[in-house]
Amino acid sequence: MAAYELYKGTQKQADIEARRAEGAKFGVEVEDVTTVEKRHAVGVDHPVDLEGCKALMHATDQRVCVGRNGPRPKLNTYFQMRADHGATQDSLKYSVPDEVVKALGLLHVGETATNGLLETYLRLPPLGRKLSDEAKAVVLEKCVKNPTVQFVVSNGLSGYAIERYAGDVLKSMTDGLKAAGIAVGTSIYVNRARVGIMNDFGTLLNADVVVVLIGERPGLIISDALSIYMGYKPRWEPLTTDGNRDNICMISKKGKNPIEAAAEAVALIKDYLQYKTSGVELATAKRG
Amino acid sequence: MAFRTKLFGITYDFKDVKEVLAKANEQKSGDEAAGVAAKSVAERIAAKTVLAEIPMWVLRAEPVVPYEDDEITRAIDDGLDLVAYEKIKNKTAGEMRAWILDEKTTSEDIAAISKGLTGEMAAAVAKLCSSLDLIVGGKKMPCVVHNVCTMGLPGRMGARLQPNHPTDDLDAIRAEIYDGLAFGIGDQVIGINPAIDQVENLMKMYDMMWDIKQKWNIPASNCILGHVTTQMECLKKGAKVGQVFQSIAGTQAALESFGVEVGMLDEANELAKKFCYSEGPNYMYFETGEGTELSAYANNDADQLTLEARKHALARRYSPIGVNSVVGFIGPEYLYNSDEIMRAGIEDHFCGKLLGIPLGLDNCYTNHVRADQNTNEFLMVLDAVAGCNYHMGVSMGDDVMLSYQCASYHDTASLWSAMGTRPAPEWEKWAEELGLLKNGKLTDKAGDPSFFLKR
Repeated sequence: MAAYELYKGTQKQADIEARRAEGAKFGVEVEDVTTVEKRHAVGVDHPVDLEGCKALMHATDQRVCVGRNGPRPKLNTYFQMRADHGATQDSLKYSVPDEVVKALGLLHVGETATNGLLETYLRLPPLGRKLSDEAKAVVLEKCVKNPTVQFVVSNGLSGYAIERYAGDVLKSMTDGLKAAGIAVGTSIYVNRARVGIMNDFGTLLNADVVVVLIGERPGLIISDALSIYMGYKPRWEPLTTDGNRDNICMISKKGKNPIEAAAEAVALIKDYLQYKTSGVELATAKRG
Repeated sequence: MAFRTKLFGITYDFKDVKEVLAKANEQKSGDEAAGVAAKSVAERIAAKTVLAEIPMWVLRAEPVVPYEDDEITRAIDDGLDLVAYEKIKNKTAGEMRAWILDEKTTSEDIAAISKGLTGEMAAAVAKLCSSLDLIVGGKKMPCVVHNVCTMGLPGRMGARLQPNHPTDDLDAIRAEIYDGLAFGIGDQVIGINPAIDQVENLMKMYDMMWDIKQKWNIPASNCILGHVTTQMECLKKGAKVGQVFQSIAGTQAALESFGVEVGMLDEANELAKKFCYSEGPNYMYFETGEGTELSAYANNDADQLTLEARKHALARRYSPIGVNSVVGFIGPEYLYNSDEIMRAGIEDHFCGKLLGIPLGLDNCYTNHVRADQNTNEFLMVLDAVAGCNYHMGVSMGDDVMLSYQCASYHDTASLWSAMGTRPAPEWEKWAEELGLLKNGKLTDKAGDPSFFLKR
C-alpha cells in the first residue's frame, strides 16, 4: 500500500529511553485554585502599594487586582472563572435524587408541564407554572386538602440549593409554625417548577398560604442560592401575580443564613393570617 | 394585498407586513414562545424573499403598532426627516441592502438617509443580511458623538466602566472604579447600576465619582442608572451628572411597564441639557434588549428584532451619547444560546447604526443560557470589527450585583491590542500623561489599581 517507507528518525534508542526515564520521574501536585486564599492573593505584579491592593480586594467581592499577562488575565484567574462557571452549570442541570427528596420528608409528585425537560423549562417559563396531569392526579389523591400552609419545593434553576439548604429551612419553618399552632399540609417536591406554581397549588388544594422553596439562577460567586417565595391565597382565578408575593432570597453559605430566613418567613405567614393578604397589599396594610 | 411566494413549489402565504417581518427573522426562542416565528426554515426563507420586495414606504405605512395606538410610533414617524425619506421611500428592502453594501455607497451617503428611516425599515434590511453583511454594513456607519470625550471615531473603541455593588457600598465601588481606570477604561462613561434607587443614595455616589474625577483630572462622564425620574430629581438638587439614563422599550405598553413615557424622556433630555456638567451636545444614555416587550406582555405580535429597532428609532429623538443592547441578559426564553445571542448582538448594532445612533454593546450572558465566556469574546470581536462604539467593563467580566457575565477591562485592552484601536482621543491623552497607556498599549504601570491610592 504505502509508496514510501515510514520515516525512521535519527536518534539513538538509548537517548530516547534515558529521556523517557527522566520524564517518568516527574509529577506535580497542584493546589486548589478555588480556595479563598488563592482568590484573595494579589495578582498585580509589583504593585505601587501592596497593602493598598489587599485593602481594595477586601472592599469588594468583584475580581479586582487580578493582574495580567499582557492584556489578558493570568491563568489562575481564568481557571477560577471557568471552574465557577462549571459550578453554575452543574447546579443548573442537577436533578435532586429521590432519596434526598425522601430524606427531606417530601412527597415527590413528579413533573410540571415541562415534563422534566430542561430545554423546555428554559424556553417556555409558563409550562413550569403548571403541574403535569399525572402530578395533578397525585396531588389530588395524596395531599391534605384546605391546608393553612402548603410547602412546595423545587430545584428550579439550582438543584444544589435544595440539597444544601432546603432541609434547614423546612425544619425551622415547620417547627416555628407548629409552635404557633398553624396547620401544615403535605409538603411536596416537584421537578423543574417556576414560582408561579404556587397558583396551581393554591387552586388545587384550596391552601391559605403557599410557600415555594426554589433554586435561584446561579451566579459565579454564589451558584447554590435558595429562595423562599410565598403568597396568601395564590390562585389562577382571580389571578394573583408577583405583586401578591413576598420573597426572601440569596439563602446560601455566602448569602443569607437559612435559619434566619426561616424565622422571617414564619413571621410573614403570621402576618398573612392576621391581615389576610400578602405582598404589596400586606406592606400597605401594615403601614396602616 | 397578497404576500405570497413559492419555495420548491410549495406556496407560502402571509397575512400582513407584520407577519412577513416576524417570520423573516432569524431563529430566536422569544419569537417562538410568542408564536410569531416561522414554523420551518423553508417558511423563514419564503418570508425573507417576500420581505426583500417590500418598499420602504409600505413599512412606514404599516408599522407593527398603529400610529393611533402607540406614542412611540407617533414619536418616530413625526420625527422623520422627510427629505431623507423621499430619497429611499421607493427602494425595496432588498435594494436597500444592496445599496448599503455597494462600494460606491459611502458612509456620508448612508448618514444622509438614516434619519428618513423607521425602526421597521432598519429591521427589514437586517433580516435580509447574513452575519458578514451586518458587519460590512455596520462598519460603513460610524456615529460620532460627544459628551466629555469624543466617541465613535473610526479607529477608536470605547468602554463603559460599570462598577456595580449589591449594596451600593462606596468603598467597593471606588475599588472597582480604580481597577477599571488602571486599565484605561471608562471613556464612554463611568456608569453604576444602583441597588437602591433613591435620591439620597444616588447623590452620595455622584459625589464620590465627582471626587475621583477632580482628584485625577479625568475627562470622565458619569451616570447612575436608576429610574430616569430619580436622576431628574438629583439634577434638580445640583448633583454632578454627566449623562442621564433610561431603559427603553419598543411599544408604548412596554415602556409604560417601566414607568416611562415619551414626554418624560423629553423632559429629562431638556433637564440634562440645562444641568449636566458635561459639554454635550449628547447627554442621554439608553439601554435596550430583545425580548423586553414580550416579557411585559406588550409585544403586539411583533418580533423581537423589529421592536428592538423601534427602540433605536425612539432613542434617535434624543441624540444620545450612547445606546447599548444588553444582549444576553434577558435569558434563554428570548435568546436561547450562543448563536442567537451573537446574531442578535450584530443585528442590534447594524440597526442602531443604520438609524444613526451611537450603538455600543453589553456582550453578556446569564448562567442559565447556553453560552459561556467564549460567546462574549467572539461577539466582542464581531462587533469590534463592525465598528461598535463601546463595550461594558467589569472586573473580569463577573458582575456580582447583576449575577451575569459581560466584558472585562482586560477584554477591551485586548481588542485595542488585537485590532490596533484606541480609546477616545481625550481619554487616551489623559491615560498617556498619567503613564498608563503608550501608543495604544498598556504600560508596566497599567492594571494596578493601587496606583490610584496615591492621591
